[in-house]
Amino acid sequence: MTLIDWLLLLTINGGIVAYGLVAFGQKRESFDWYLAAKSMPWWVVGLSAFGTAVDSGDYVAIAGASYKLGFSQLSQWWLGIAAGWFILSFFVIVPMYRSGVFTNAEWLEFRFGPAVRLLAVLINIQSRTNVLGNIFFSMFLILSVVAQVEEGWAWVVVVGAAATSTLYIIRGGLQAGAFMDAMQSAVMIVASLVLWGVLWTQVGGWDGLEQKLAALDPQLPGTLLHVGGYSPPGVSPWVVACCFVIVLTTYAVINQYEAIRFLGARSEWDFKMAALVASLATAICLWFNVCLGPLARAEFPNLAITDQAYPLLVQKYLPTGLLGLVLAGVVAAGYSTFDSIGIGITSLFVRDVYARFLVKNAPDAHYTRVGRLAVPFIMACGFLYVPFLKEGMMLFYLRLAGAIAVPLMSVILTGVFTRVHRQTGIIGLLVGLGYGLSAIIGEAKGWPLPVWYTSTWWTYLWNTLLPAGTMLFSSWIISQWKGPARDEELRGLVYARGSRPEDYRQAMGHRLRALEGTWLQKTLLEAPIRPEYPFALPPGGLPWHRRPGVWACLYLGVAAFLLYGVLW
Amino acid sequence: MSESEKEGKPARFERLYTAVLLLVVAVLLLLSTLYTPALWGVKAGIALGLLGMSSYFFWRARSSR
Repeated sequence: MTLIDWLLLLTINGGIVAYGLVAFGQKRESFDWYLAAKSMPWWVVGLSAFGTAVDSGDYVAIAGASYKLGFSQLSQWWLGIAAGWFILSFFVIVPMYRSGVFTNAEWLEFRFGPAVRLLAVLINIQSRTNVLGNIFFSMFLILSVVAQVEEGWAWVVVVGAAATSTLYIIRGGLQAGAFMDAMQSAVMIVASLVLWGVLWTQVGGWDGLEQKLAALDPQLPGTLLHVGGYSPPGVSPWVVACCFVIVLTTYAVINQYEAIRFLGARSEWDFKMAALVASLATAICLWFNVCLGPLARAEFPNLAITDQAYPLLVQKYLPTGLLGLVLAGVVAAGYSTFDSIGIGITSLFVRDVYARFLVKNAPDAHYTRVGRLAVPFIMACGFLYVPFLKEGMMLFYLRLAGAIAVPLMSVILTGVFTRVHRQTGIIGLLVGLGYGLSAIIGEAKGWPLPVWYTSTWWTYLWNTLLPAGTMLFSSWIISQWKGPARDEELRGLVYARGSRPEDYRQAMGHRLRALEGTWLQKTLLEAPIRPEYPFALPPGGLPWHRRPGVWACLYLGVAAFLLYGVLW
Repeated sequence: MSESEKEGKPARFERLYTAVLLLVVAVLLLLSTLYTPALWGVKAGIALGLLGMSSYFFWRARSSR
């Protein structure tokens, strides 16, 4: 890397960080710091959700994984994550937004009790600190392989980036993080486009890539350049596709650091449109990134560590100037996720652990201060994963997420869409976690278990069905004994069209005896109710082009057609 | 000071800041062709785009005075 590349990297990222520090003043009230006073427009929420979902780990890890798995990964980025965002914004977030909670774990306690709330916090912390580890390691790889920075210094730079990203979060909270994410998103998309464009041209487009791969192995274009091309022994390509859809649907549904952005929207219409913006930005950016795997396979066919694919491509093909621009995008991707994990996990720690179980009735400013102090500690947890990431970040993440995160998604969706009893949440979650962990241990220890039980890919399917099935069954048993769940138990907590928050907001604040007289209760009662639309409705209702549902259906239809019709 | 004046100041600062940042990045990209002429057309194309956006933000900042 030359001086001009370093200058580009520092100017772009330093410029954005400096803007964040100057433009967003210190927020003292918790409602402002954690939820941006529910003031953010659709495009900020959408770009921020995209910037949060795609980190520098996704540049390096996605190229590394598609080196082996090829276009099969497009299922998760074109369909899985979009389906997750649409389910989140059209259904899951609606009762949370209307009921005035700050976190999805908080809603889980109202719906399923404190044990589920606590487990959700632990699962979120595990899964996001794992992602932090991915980002740290991918940044380290880029610095050491591309920039030839000595290993020790590369880690110093990584820690420095994490530290500076915490600064604007500590100061400006969610609002600063979301606006910075929106700016960083633009840099990320440009970086992906530039690298893809240069490589795609050099390799001779689609035909050139096919020929190069076929020269290595005649089967390789079929495996890498088709969505249904990859299938390990004992697993059909449809199970792989299904797993990839579930993995990022899970991501969007369960993660507080995504949910908090949608909860910070100025209206319900804004967070629904945001899901469309996020899906489109992700589809464009990740098409470029997923293509890099097969391109790298054609260029470097015998990589032992596949996560080196991205740095090696960058190093080989990008001249001075473009190198700095692309690396600035990778670093921006890291920043946009650092800040999101910072605010998202902090909100869980403060509201769902600290204020719920430890210090229940301090002044409002105290909880904002504790949140600020917690951000650097959460960042530090990511480094614990680094020693385990050598074999490929994506595969390690897939293994853990299937076992631990998917059961939580299943519990949340069953809670939102059905009238299952309150006691069933913990049963479903424990059944899912028990199965997932037994699959991991069984595979690691070589127990004589069938592939359909232990394989990473199958766990996604079973862990979607098992917890939901167990909850429905146990709810049926409880109903036989106590009768069905009562309306007042479920009011405002399950998805219902046309429910009015004004009718049950006061009841929310008094629903749990454990919250009486606490700061959590005070914030629930005082949080203002935001409108369904940020504008006055025209007399004939919304025209079709302003309806988020129309766009969501169109997006999902086109994505499914491209994936399973054109590219399968 | 009126409310619109209070809101105008941060917006003007925001636009000027963005304009200057885009300008600096465009200049750095153009300077990088001095290191190597490889892919100079791509660099010049991106720099032109950035200069266009920078001019737009300068114009918006001026007109909001």
